[in-house]
Amino acid sequence: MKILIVDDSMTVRAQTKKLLSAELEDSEFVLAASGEEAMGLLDANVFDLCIIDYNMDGITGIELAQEILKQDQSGDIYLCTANAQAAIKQQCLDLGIGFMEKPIDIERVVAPFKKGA
Amino acid sequence: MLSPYFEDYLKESFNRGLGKASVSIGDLTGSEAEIKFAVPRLKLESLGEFKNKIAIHDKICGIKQRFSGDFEGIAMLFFSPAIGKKLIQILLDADIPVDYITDIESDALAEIGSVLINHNLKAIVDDLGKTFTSYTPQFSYKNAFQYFSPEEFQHEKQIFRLEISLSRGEETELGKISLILYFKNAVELVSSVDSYMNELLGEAT
Repeated sequence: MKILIVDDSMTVRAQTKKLLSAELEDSEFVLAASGEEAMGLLDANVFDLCIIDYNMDGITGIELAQEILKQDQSGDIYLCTANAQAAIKQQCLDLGIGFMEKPIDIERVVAPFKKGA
Repeated sequence: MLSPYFEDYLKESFNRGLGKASVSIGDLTGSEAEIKFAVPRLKLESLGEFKNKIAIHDKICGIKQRFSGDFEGIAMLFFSPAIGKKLIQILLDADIPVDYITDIESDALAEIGSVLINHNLKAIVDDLGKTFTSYTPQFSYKNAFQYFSPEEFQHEKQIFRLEISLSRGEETELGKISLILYFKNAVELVSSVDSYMNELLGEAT
């Protein structure tokens, strides 16, 4: 499976990749440091799972998630933030994507893929 | 000078720590995340430099908490009396200037400080597999120079300072507070973070 991780923190990108790769072996990871960089990857890739930081300069996490949905990518999308505001949760709910407080709950993210395995 | 790896790690840890602190303070005040913290600015500067900056106030509110364990030092939170008054209003629904507060209000402010300090310290050490113990927080309202006795602090030593914007609810900005971390031996922290990041980034590439 192909996994997109978008976060402006190199620490979070690396931590998330490490945690996911331990659970979802043989996955291919694509890492992006900004919404803009991630946008540039969408045409050439179909992602099964997207883990996106909410707070990023430029294209925000929510804008990126909207773009991914527009492109009809069928994978799961999770928006993550350290600042668990009700308004952000509601935005995610409205878009029909997952919301997650940092650090991310790996078990929740991988559960659907393990069931299907 | 902070290395980009170290700075990124610390900023992300503080980001998480502040998010958790916001939820805990919401629990204390009985409302969901009423006090919010904006993504912090991190600076490395000498204690002397910082002291001169806050000395522009005649008196300033400070919460001091010692910690020990794998890392040892003193964490302090500083804010203006105006912010102190607003915090008392949010916490206790009382309109009391900091000059006139009693033990009840001092304790409430110390508790808020302790929540902030502990969540941030925990966020730093957790990923490193380290632990710490923190001691009773103390609230004071006094002149900046009175906080830093030469017996406890070396003024030329570098501190980590987080400048945090505080707001109430989604909109009302309350002002800025400073969280400073004075490590007895900051080199240990830097080397632990460097090792952790080297390993992490080695695996990620």
